Amino acid sequence: MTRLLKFIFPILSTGFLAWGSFANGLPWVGMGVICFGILWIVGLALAWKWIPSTGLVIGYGVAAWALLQIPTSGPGSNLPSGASTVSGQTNPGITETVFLLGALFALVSWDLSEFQFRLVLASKDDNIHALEQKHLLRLFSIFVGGGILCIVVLNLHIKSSFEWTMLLIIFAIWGISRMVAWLQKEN
Amino acid sequence: MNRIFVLAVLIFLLFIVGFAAIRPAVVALILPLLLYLLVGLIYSPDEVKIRAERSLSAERLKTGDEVLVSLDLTNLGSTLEEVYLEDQIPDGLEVTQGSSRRLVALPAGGSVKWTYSLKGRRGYYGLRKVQATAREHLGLAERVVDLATDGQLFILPSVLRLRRVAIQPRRTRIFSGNIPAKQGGSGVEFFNVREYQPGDSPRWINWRATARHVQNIYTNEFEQERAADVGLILDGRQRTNMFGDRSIFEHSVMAAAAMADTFLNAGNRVGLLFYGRQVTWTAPGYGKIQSERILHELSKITPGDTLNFNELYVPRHLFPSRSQLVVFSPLVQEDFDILTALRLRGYHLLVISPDPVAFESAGMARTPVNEQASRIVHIQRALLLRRLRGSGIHVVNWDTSQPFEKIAKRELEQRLVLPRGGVL
Repeated sequence: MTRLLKFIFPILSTGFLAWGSFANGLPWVGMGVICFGILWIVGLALAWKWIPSTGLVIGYGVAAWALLQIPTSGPGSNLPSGASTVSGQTNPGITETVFLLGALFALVSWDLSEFQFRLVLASKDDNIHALEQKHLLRLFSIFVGGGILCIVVLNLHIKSSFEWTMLLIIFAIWGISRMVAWLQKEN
Repeated sequence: MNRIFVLAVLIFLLFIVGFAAIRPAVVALILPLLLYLLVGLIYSPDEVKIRAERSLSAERLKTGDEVLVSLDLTNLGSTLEEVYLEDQIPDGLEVTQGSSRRLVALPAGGSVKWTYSLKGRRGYYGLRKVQATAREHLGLAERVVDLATDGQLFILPSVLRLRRVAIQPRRTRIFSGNIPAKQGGSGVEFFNVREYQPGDSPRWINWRATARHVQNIYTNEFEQERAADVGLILDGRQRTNMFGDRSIFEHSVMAAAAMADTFLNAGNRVGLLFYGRQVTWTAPGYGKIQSERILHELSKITPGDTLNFNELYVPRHLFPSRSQLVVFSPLVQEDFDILTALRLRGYHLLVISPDPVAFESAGMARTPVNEQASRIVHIQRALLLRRLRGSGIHVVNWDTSQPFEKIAKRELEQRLVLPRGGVL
């Protein structure tokens, strides 16, 4: 199953990113994303070790860059309605959602490719099916949880002073650093 | 690339860019990545406590035989979501059936058992650890532990059965064997004619001699056959045995195993002296136990650099003068002095020399330069062998492209008739 999914998610990721780019007047970005998507699929078929990480970085990079380039979803966007502002308040639009999904699919694809590299080491007597099921369940929960968190953050509007924002940033950086350091130490 | 590093870089970059540009959508992209890291951290495996037990269907194998390895691993700690278990197989062994690795989930108290087959080339192998890599499902946090197990494997050299090896040391032991002792008595080969003595079998009476001398009766006397001391000296010098990646050493080992087996089966007292990376002695002894000792020693040895061969010392208390020494060596020019010195000390020498020139030439491209070089070295070697034979040393030149049995049958089975003065 993983073998099939690891090819589906890069297609979904690049598809969403390209769609978002074309829809927001970034055709060259869209073309570039499609070209990279083809390379990504070829790389996965040929089991290039570096391609999943590159796919993740490029998927996230394109999503972030595109989100910086386009104005917040609304009148400037060519995407279907449902985005834009409601009664003067900015809501997460389809533009953001499309790029967010593109990035999320890149994350899923990266994870599945790395998992597939590990599965190659299994012997034919191993219960790979059970391992795949548990892995996909956890990945799905991260996918859903991550998506919900993003929507919540995009909907959340908290006004805070500069000092508090800076404090929050410093605290976030410290927290992430600790987490990364702990995981590195575990390994 | 380290997965955590990739995630960390991505998170920090998006964080900086998102806050610098004041774009919540960019900052929001971080959240799935953070959640991914967090889940990896929460489910990271605790201390890995796995008990590993190994059993082997045999500890001693002949080259080419297979051994069944069974592994039983029990998780004594908390649940491990994903464990990659890999039996650490030393170089020289290969898996022929099944797999030496497993990827499993091990609940607390759970166990996994599996078997696989191994075979390999001659050697001694310690199978002492299984590597366990425990991960959570996402594979971010992992713990690698070496699990100690007991297990050793001796892959013994294959032993060729030779019909007999004719040697004639001047000194024999008192026990009966099949080495002609140059003394009259009971035996098979005719030795002498002497006067009849009470107790002699009438069948031994030499009627022709008796008819010539009417006064006396004469009987045939046979040559006694006794056991002898045989010292096997195996040359394990790197410089004489290794030719790039190819080694002629295995041929010497095979010949030594075959000769040891033949001499011991004939009731002789056999010891082994190995000059390789280190000098090792297998003290002389008789019988099947000694045969096992020698095979064990032969399974362990590997070529290595040594200077000791230049000062080859054979302890006299183990191998008295005039006993038989069998040297297995590809030979180099400097060996002439060492071997003749042994001969001068009274040892009866047999040298089995796998031909390094033919061996090396077989692995080289056939160019005019190579062929000319090969011819020159071949002549040098032929001269060395001739000089050795001239010194009374029995040298068997073995072209390793031919089986040893064939060479042994042609050159070792027949009793060697020494010319006058004992010089070949």
